[in-house]
Amino acid sequence: MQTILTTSHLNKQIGAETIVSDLNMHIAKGEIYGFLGPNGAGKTTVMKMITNQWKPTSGDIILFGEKLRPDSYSFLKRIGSMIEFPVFYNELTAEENLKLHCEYMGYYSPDSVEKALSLLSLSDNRGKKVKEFSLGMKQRLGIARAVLTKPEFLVLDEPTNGLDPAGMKQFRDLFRMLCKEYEMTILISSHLLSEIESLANTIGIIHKGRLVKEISMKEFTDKGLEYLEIKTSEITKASFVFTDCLNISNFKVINNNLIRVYTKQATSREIMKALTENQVEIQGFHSQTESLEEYFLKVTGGECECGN
Amino acid sequence: MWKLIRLEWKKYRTKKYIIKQAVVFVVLGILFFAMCYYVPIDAELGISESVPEVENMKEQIDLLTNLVFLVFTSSMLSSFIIKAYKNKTQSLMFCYPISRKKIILSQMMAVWIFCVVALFLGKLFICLLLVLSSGVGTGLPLGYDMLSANFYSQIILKTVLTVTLAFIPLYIGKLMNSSRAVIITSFLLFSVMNGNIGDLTLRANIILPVFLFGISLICGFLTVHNVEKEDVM
Repeated sequence: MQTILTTSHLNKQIGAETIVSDLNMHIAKGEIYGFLGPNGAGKTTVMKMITNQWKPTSGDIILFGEKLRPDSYSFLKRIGSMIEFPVFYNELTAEENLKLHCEYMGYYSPDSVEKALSLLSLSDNRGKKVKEFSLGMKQRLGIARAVLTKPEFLVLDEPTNGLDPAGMKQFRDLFRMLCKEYEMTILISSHLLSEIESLANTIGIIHKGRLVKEISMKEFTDKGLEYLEIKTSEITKASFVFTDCLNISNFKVINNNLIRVYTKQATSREIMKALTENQVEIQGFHSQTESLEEYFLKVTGGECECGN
Repeated sequence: MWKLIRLEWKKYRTKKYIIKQAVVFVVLGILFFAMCYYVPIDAELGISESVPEVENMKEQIDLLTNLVFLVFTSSMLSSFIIKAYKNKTQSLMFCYPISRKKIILSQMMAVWIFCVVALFLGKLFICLLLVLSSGVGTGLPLGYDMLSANFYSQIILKTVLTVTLAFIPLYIGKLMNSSRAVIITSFLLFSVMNGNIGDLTLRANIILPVFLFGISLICGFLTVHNVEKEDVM
């Protein structure tokens, strides 16, 4: 599959502080890449480096097959972005802001402004000055501007901030549509893990400036992230059955009477049979699927600012 | 480049600046008219009793309009560039497929062209007003002849010099990331150029304006010079 973006040993240091360290990221063409990480993990910094607003201290960014240099700018024609919070010329109207964007991007297409406004349900506010907009409306206008010129690559930093649930759903549907109909590749960061879980094809988890995991959602669901949760007062005995009788090493003792078994080596029936044969007292036994949130907490060591 | 300059004017609604300028020049015109024809003149020396160091109106017009415009150009540069960094619209600008140098240069040129034209027209307006109202009474000598080519070349030179000087406050403001620093530096600069210690005044000295003009160009260059490699904070 063709890769739109690759970063290689990307580092960013400001003063003595390392913000991004040895980051290797891969985004395939046409996918939605969910970028997750606790606050201050380095998500925005990476996005700023991708759009060349911040320059890497070391390492490479390969975008559309070309290495980014500090003075590269022509690639920006192929990118739509909204990083941190949407910024506008507040004295201008929504329509004027979008027209200005088209002028700077060198994009001339009749009705494009009108289409973008109507796509984000902002047609009725086209003549309103941006300074009169609420945060949610600005967020919508920011997305309208980012998609206005039909870029190949969309970089969106927390785009659902300030939106109500209906707005979030509208955004989700919009991103799926852009990905499917216009073959856009989308890099989207969010602290709402459930949002990303239902949207992304691939997730990248960044923690303290390092990309700790990059995994496709398919791999995530296939990889045996389903687990059996067994409630028993005989944890040691049960552990012995797993290792010695069933040859299972991938299990985790959660507390004194709860154990999780992550495996596809044995079926739940076989596990239950082995435990009863070895006279392990079972108080509860059920199958669970590990959510993205649990997975995220596992790889980041429990640091999460999850909004769900 | 011309297109970028026009977009800058459009973005900042330059019409409102034109109206502001028109008001400023009408007020200045009235002030100079009063100063020319209503300030008492020492009969023996032929100079103003209240402003004895001013020998003719030309000097007075230059002094005041240059002060107003040095501060005005600096404040406009601050709005177009320093405030753009502060309110993050400069980050937005740097997301466009245009070289950063070209963007900053277009912002500087948008202000420079606007202010040069405005100051030139403003000075002409005031000078013409005083000439046309010369029948009102006797006052300070005007000290200029609007029919001579020298008059226009002088105005153009001084206008270009004054407006270009604002690149010094701009550079200092950019270094300090402060709009206030831009305005304060413009006042200090004006004081250096036009202040006097005892009998010594730098205004009459040709070397200082030429030197400051050179410094302004260097500051303009430095403002643009490293912009491609900077992180946009």
